[in-house]
Amino acid sequence: MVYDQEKVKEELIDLILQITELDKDELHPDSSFVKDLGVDSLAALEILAALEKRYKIKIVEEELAKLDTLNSALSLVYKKLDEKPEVN
Amino acid sequence: MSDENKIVITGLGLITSIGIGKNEFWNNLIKGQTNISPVSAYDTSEYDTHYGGEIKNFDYKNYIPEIKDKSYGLASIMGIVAAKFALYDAGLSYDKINKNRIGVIVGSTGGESKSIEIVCTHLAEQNNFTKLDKNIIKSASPSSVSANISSYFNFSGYANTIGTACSAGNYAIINAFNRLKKNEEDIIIAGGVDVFSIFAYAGFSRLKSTAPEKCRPFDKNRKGIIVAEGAGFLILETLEHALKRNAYIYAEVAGYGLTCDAFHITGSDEEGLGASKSMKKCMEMSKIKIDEVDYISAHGTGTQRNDKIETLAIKKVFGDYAYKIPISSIKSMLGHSMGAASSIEAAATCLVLKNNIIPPTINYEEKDPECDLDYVPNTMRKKNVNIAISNSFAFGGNNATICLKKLN
Repeated sequence: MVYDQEKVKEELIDLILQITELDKDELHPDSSFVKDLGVDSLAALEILAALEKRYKIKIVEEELAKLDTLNSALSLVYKKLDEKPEVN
Repeated sequence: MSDENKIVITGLGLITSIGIGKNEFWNNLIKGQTNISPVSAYDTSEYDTHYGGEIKNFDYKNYIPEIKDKSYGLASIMGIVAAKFALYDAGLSYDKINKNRIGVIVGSTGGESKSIEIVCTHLAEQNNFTKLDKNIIKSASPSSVSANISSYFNFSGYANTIGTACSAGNYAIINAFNRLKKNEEDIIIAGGVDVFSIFAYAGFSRLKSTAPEKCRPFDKNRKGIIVAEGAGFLILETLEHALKRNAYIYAEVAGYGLTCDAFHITGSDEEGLGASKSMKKCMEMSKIKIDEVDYISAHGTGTQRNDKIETLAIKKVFGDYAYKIPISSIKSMLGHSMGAASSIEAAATCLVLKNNIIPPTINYEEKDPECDLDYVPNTMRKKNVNIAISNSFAFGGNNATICLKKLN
């Protein structure tokens, strides 16, 4: 489907900051949420669940490991949105 | 019984030899897929048989990168990842959950069996324990599995590891059911985990209970079990709690039956008394009639004795109606994942209720006159399933049957 990558990125950052209560400066694109940023394991799950809800995409369990950094989360969301058929 | 007291299942977390996560697991299950293959973790050349249901090419560390503590044994690690899948599936992270009111109950046959193996190897090599790694000492206790899952998620409700061998997963679910009924916790993560261990492999091999290549439950030429590994965790909560947070509900746990054969440590009672009593108790507690059961998830290990006695026990309980109930053993595909088996089967039964598809018993070729029921041979079957029971019969004669019901 057609989407604005920059807008998705901004939304994703907002969502992560909201759930994790981190400051924007702390959120480096390749830092592991849990390992480097000290995000609670359940909060990490909450980010994924929120992604599913926000973008109406389905993230399966096998993909949970791929979503530990902002960049990896973004790549997966882009991939899922690319695969999503445009529905009118 | 009021609706508020009903106990429901709202999340599934699976790590099995046929799939990681409920989707891969289910898709392979209904296709009749198996990954039973020559054992790679151990040298089995000295044993009679050489096949197992190992989980290959799966790196647990990817899922729990923050764990630096080396005292977490492999069963704990597998359990944490499966519990994480279940929590994710339950959508629990949407809620402001009270971690003080979440419990963890784990069924396991071997507990941290890998750690025990290291202890044994150390003793054989060093002839004493003076230099034994401290981390191994910390991880070797079976109770560490539930303790580690609790501590990873910071869940400080009840935690227990139950060791009733191959029915331990059902025991964990039943324990959770009773605690939730009494409002002791809001949510319980219950299930089972066992990692591939040479102790289990050698044990069943020495008892001449392992099959050469295929597990073929209820087939005339069945030759035994295939030792496997895996984890299955379920999220249980009261119906009221689930409705309040708008959770998807797989099934209601309608009741259970627990009995002990009081007969022999490894062999089932010849008449199937313990097994049939377990099913009868379960149906009585669940207030269901014989002809309401749409599916039986069998213990179905693939040994001559279990399958014959389980069939006999089912006939004792259901009479002529036994011939009308589809029965399948998913161990034919997964192998026998020990303490995790019955919790994985409970999760599979939840998916049967959800999808109205019954997984097959694969490798079925020749009918055994003593096993003459409908075992859903080789191909899955579409059928509306509203009520199912799931059997587990363990060493020590520890029988546990649960009844899962579609919620109206």
